[in-house]
Amino acid sequence: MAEGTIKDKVAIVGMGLTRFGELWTKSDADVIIEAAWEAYEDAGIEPNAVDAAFVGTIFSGVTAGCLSEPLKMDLKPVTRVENNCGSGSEALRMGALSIAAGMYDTVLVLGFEKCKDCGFNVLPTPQPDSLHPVYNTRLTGPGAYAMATINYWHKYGIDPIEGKRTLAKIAVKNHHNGSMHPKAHLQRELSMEAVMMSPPIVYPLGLFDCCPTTDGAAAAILTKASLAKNFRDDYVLIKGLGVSVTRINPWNGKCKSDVDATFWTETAVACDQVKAQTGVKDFNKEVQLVELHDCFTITEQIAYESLGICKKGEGTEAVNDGRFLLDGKLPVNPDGGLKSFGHPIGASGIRMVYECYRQIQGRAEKPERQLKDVKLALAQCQGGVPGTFQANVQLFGARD
Amino acid sequence: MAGITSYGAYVPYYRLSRAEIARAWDGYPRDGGRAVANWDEDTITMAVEAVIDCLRGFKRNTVDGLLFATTTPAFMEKSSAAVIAKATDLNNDLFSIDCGSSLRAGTSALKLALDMVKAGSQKNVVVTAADCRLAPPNSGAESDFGDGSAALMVGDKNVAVEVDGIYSFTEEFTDRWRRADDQFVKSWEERFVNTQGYNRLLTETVGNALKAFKLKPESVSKLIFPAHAKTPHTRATWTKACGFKPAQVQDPLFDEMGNTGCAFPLQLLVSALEDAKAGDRILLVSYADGGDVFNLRVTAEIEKIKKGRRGMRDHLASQKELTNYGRYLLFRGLVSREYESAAPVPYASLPREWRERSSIMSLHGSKCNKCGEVQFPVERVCPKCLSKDEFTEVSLAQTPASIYTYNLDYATPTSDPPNSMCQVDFKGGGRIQCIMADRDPNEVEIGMPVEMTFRRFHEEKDIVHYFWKARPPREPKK
Repeated sequence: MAEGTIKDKVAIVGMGLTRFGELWTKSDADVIIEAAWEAYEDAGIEPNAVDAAFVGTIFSGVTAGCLSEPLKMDLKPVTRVENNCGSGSEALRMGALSIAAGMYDTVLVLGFEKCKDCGFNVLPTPQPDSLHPVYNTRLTGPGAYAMATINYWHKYGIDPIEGKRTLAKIAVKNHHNGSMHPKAHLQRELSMEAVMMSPPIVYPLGLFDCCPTTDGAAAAILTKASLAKNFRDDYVLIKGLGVSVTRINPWNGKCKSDVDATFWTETAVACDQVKAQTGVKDFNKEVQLVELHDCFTITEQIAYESLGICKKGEGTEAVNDGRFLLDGKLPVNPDGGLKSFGHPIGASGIRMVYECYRQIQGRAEKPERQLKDVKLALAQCQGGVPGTFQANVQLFGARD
Repeated sequence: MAGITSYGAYVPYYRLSRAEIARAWDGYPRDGGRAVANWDEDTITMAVEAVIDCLRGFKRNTVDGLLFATTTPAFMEKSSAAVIAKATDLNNDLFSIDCGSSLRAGTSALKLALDMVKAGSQKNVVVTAADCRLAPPNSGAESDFGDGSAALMVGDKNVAVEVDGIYSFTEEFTDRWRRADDQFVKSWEERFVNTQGYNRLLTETVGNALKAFKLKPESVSKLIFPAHAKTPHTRATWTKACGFKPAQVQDPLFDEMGNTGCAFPLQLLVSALEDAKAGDRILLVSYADGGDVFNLRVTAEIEKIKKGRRGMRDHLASQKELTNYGRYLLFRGLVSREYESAAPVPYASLPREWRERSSIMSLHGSKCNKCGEVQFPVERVCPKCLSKDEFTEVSLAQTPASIYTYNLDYATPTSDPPNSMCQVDFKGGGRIQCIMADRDPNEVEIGMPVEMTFRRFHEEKDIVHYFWKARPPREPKK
């Protein structure tokens, strides 16, 4: 196997992020234009002054034309990338690889989704004709994670009320963080009581265990590391890009009995790739910020263990001792995560990078949410449902 | 000699009390309740249940005939019997036929099967009957009707019930009817229906049969007939006229189940056989435009087939009260479901379902010939040893299973909320993710035993999609 590494070859020199939310007044094109223009301006480049572009979306646009048309990209090479909830992360990975391959100097990567236009109050399903006629009927995201929750509690002997309380603390933490972010969908604190008493969606998950359904877009301008200083001094380097894709698909009725739905194996494998690429041994000790995929509170709890920032089965203890709070030892989802931002699918992976980028640069939107001395920041964006993931784990770092 | 060699039956999980129906309509509360098919059941799925019950302990590849009787078919054009045969994994070397239109269709099919075996054209024929008749809301028939199915195996070896004679009588009489485009069963005024139809016709038919069989009423152990309403005095009139005593009359299960249409006489026969002993003589009667009368004698073989069958007894002992009449309306599609949000439309593709028919319809998985790994659905590459196209299909439809994990979904629209999705581990390997049916949400837990049940999954693009769900075994609680 090739021992390739992306470390320090590609830099992020500009980023853009729309306000996330129920953007009734904005179209696909509107969110794309807003994210791209902010990224252009942040990088200090003219619109369209890139060699190529990669766009990540799961269902909001079908061809690469969904990006090139609103941005008037003038017949440049544009590629549409789809890898479920990791579509944005994959667009960024493809952009970085194209630069590392020497193909392009500067690339726009952009992820977006318009989830609220479909009339269905949860995530719409990608390409209806890809659905199986019977196997995946009535399986929902919350339904799949609810099954994992019950499994996780059973495995570790956790009492359901105690388990719910732990999950509620995660929701309270992320809402607290998100309440300070001017671009979050939900910018308000939640009380423990509100989370515990929230109406059931899929037992055991209640309304506030779930992230909202949201529209939004995020964009980044990538360039060769050697050219980065031409754009800005505080550029951010891509350190490692890991991705692991399931070998099974319970979403399609296919379950395997050796799958442990209480651990995100694909995420763990993607972490190993990042460690091999970067030489980082222990995220817990070497990373100062983690953005992780918290589509549901249980997703975050199990992600702690899968990323190796706590031991297997230690998730409850880790929540209770506060180590992942904004002022804890290792802040997790300092921007509020999917819980506060929602999950415009193609946008989420790049939205996480936006937080890593701004925190590393010391440019958090409000001083009270600026973390100190962020040198390395980790982002994990995971698509699919327990047992079948497309997991992206990406590491970003400050320049020397 | 051709006779009955096995039996099976099915009564749906839900039972709606007549008191609840009366409550909904401010009516007069009546005793008992009626069996109600769940929203995802129809006559095909109920027949599959009865056939599976009937085939327990039998080699499926010995079945060479399948007769399906119903007045409420899922398809007006397209064979239901073929769907039942695929779901129960019968050989393709099969004579199959759909019988219908008359409440006598169940016994008509039984006579045909007996004649076929007698003629030597088939060896082992399964007769199954199911009905799910719709009565107008707030009618007496709404309380009287029930849903259910039965199955009988007919052969000439190890016969448990010998047939000493069959008598049929046909006289056109319109008492209840449903035209091709009617939603509900219609009926003429009750007095006319009872006196000139039911009482007069049954007295004449059974009287003729006794003469033809040279049989005295007192030598009959059990008289089985389809009570069309809960009116004990009406029943007494003609049974008395024919010379039978009340103790000879088989309990019509009217308080437990209701009149289940063309499945009714066969279900009651199963019920009688559960208590029968060698030497018992049973008179089986059906009624509609006349009737069929069977002179049956139970043999010692009955003891062998009594074992391991759920029949009527276990199903009746594991019913659950449907506490809300509104749910019944939802189950039967009698109220709008427009309140449901527009969920993404599942893909409908007949070529795709046809390619995957052994997994979707027969619930086959694949077992790796190299390493023994079992997976569902049938897949070409083994996830464990990566051997390609080295597998044997295995049936998982009757394999004991247990819950690996589950949920209770209050947001996903269903007529029987909450929608419970689960992952099920089969004994011997293989896991499936599927929906749960006929479960008490409060009792679902990890490790709970379940079995697979064939259901009407959904309809899309005018295609009826059938698939399997998991449910707690339909057995009485210990």
